[in-house]
Amino acid sequence: MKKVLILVPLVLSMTGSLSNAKPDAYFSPPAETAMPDDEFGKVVKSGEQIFSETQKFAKPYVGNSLNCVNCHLNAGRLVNSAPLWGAYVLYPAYRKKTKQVDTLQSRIQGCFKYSMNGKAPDASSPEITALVSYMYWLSTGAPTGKALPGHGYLELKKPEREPTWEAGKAVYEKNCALCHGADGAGQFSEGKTVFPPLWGKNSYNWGAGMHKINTAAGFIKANMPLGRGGLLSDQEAWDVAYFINSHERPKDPRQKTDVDSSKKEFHEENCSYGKEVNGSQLGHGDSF
Amino acid sequence: MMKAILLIYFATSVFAHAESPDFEIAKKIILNGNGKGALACMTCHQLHGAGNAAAGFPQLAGMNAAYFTSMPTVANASIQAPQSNFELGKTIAEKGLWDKGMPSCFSCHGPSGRGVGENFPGITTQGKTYLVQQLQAWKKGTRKNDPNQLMATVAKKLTAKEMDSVTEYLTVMKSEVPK
Repeated sequence: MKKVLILVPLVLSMTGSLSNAKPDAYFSPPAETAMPDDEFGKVVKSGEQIFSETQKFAKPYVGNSLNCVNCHLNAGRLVNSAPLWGAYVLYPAYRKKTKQVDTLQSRIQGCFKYSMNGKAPDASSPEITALVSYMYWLSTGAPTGKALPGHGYLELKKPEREPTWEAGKAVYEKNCALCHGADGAGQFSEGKTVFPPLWGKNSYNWGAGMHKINTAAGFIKANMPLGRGGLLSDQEAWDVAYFINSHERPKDPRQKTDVDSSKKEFHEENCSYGKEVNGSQLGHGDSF
Repeated sequence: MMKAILLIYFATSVFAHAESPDFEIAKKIILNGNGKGALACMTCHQLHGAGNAAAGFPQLAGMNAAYFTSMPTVANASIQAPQSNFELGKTIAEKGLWDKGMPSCFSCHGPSGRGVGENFPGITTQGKTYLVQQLQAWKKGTRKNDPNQLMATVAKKLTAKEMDSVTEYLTVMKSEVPK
């Protein structure tokens, strides 16, 4: 009886402490040096390589100049940068975007179709298997089904002022252009992407999560400029997210007929798709 | 006595040529220190005693034995040479120190650290002394032309050991300046 009286509150306080975690009590993925040194570890390593150098290791499936790590910083480990361990424990899940229950495999296929503007590898392909294995290993010890602190991107409160092109452009020129280029085309070195393109033909397409202004604002607020996350005010993050996502980019692969129909079906809120900006309608994925 | 042994090593400057057991002791001290507080000689004087002219560490190879032995012992307290760690340097340059919010050097300076565009110069194209001086200048605030204080932010987070390790790594990875 005494043991139960001690153990029950102890266990409760342990489980309680995870759900009431302070912002500093984040999940900690295993160190890279702890990657297993066996057949499974090889596949995990392969997943890490695809994640970090997607251009090189998943070339047939990539249609733009991005790598997974461009938006999932520190090889998918970083808090508030859509860390893989945060996502892993929340799948399978019903998603409004696809109107179905997505598995990890189908979720990652979406990354290739939209964020990478490419084509989805088969669910049982070596590439998807490697990526899922890497996610699984990074999530060692993470509790299934829990929305962990630091998962996904920050959710900013609605901005005080409606974001504008001019306000966003000012933020962009001061804080972003030095890396991502005045033309948003990014910068490259030795054939590799250093700073990813943010709009135009080599960036994520209109179907990618990052095209949504609230999503981009949350990513930018916590993570940009690189190494100076938190520098921008919420308003600045909203403004520059609006500016970046109000440029043309490759077509939404889901578009069946015209932009206006796709707008109703897929782009009801939080984005500039189908809107007229600077004299032309966005979403056509041309005239770059 | 120990100094004479060390000088025999530097004078011959042949690693594999073991004259006597003392030679092996000398080699050990040069590579690892004496285990009693003396730093490894190579830390400052380089592997074969060539020294480091820019940093002011004299060449020892070929030095007159009696002269060498007559030199006073330098108190280690006055030497600022935190033990550089190659693996740590590699981690900082290639992965970053994200516990401190620090991205990798190469994420801005390019995959081989040769530089990118107008704002991110080559870093594997420079010597260690210069790299350390610049990092310290940003840390102290005597250099402040970095856009958005990107480098000052990095430098302020680096410990002396990390600064030494990453600059050591970058120098070892020294690449040809692209034509």
